[in-house]
Amino acid sequence: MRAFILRRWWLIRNRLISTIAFALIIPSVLTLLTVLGIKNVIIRSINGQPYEMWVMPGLFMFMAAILIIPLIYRDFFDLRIHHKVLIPMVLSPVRKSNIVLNILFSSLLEVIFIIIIGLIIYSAIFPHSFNFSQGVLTIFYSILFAFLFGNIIILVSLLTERISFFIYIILIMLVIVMFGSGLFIEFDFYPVSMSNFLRYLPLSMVGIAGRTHLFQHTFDFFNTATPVIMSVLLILLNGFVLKRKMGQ
Amino acid sequence: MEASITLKKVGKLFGDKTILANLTFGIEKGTLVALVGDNDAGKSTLLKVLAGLENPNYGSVFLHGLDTNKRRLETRQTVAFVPHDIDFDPWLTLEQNIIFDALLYESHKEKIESRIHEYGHALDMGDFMYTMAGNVPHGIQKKAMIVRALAHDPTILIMDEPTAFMDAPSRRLVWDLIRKLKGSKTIVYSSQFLPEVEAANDRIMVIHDGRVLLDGSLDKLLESTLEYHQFAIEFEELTDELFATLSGVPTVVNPMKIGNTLNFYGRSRKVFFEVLNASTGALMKDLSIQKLSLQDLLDSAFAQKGMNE
Repeated sequence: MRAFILRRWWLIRNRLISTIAFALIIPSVLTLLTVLGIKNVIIRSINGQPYEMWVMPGLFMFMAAILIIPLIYRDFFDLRIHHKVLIPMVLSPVRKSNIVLNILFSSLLEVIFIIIIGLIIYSAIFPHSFNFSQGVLTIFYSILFAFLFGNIIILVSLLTERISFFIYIILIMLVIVMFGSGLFIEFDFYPVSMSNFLRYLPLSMVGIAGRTHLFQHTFDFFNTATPVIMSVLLILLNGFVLKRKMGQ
Repeated sequence: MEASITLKKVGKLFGDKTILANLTFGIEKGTLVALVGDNDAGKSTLLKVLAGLENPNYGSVFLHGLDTNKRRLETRQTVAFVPHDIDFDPWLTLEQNIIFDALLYESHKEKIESRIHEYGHALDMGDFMYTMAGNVPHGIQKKAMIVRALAHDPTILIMDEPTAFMDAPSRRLVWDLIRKLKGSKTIVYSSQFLPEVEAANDRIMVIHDGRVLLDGSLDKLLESTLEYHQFAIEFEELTDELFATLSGVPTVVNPMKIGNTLNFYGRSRKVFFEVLNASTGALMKDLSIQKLSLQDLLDSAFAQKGMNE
């Protein structure tokens, strides 16, 4: 674990200016271009909350998903395709599932750092939209979302060999995350049959659990535990696929 | 002497093609073993199998008596692999790349840094250690890959073309280090630089079509060819008819026509006189006779014709 955290820190430090720039640009652009526009269309949620309050956890989950894609892409697609780094990693006495978990965990540290900056920016644009404990819970559920989403991206990165195919899948995934996971638009706005289906997507469950915890102060065990279990299973699957892909 | 590496009936297939065919041999602890052979002979695949990067389709590999398939994590602790191609993360410095890799094996960062300093100094890495890998010439990166392999203090070192991409001074430094390590570590490497292999002169395995064609010290390998000499006779004009006539001399092995020069192998110097008789007065300009080298052994046509005679 220490090796992977050190590596992540070095990667951030070696491109510090661009990291800081992205840490400011991504949250600002996402907040301004999504929330400012949609809040004039969906003024209040179905429960009567102002849209900028309701959407906050969803926005940060989406931000976490956006932030983790390049980190995962680089380690599991780019470096694998170009026969870099992963070769010595898989030759080391570390289990493949541990390699997957450690890379994902160290990537999440970078995501947390940018999400904290994002929360500061968000509170500056929309004062009083969330309190401290809601901010902490938003970080927790965003990380849970990125943990599951990151595992899915790892699987895609390991299973695809062509960059064009990888990009198509990522774009489709982003559309599903943005419009089909209840992050920006409530499920009740969709037809009932579709809404019932979308609610049970593992990524949607994180959003539901997060909002239940933030706004109703109730821990939603089913919708929290299911994505966690899915993530653990995906780590084991990704470890197996990594092993196969590296000819081990 | 204790075996460091043991292969038992190891085979590797890619589709229908046999890359390694039923290999069984042992490598003693502390020895320096060179794998030589044509491109596509199976050298790199064999090294990958030894390093654990490829699994054999059948057979077993043992490192220090442990089956690499059953005791994977333990055997990996003892072995280090230097692949042919550069595999550093271009966004990290060489030192960061090496420390990261070594920390996967060993938790003592001080020990790792001490080894990096020692081997980095031996290979004259200088300030390149603190430069982003993507900005460093390939020859320097290859030296850093050797430092990386040694940073966790393995007992077995596997190297695919250890001096690839390097200039002459760097190659000398690498060979000085390899000679220094010999005895304390078991080193297996492949190389196309045959003069280097001849100079190292410990144990040489000639790989051909996934099989070990020859195995032994350079002296032992050349022992079987001691009677052989390589002849080069330059004629005023070497016509196709004359070449065909001379190729027909029974004692001429593996004849080749290069311009007006006839190159061939012969078992003794008297072959020259048989060629002289057969050349029926054709004017000769020059003659050279040499003892055989490792390169001649690797000439597959000669190896098959000459050695089997």
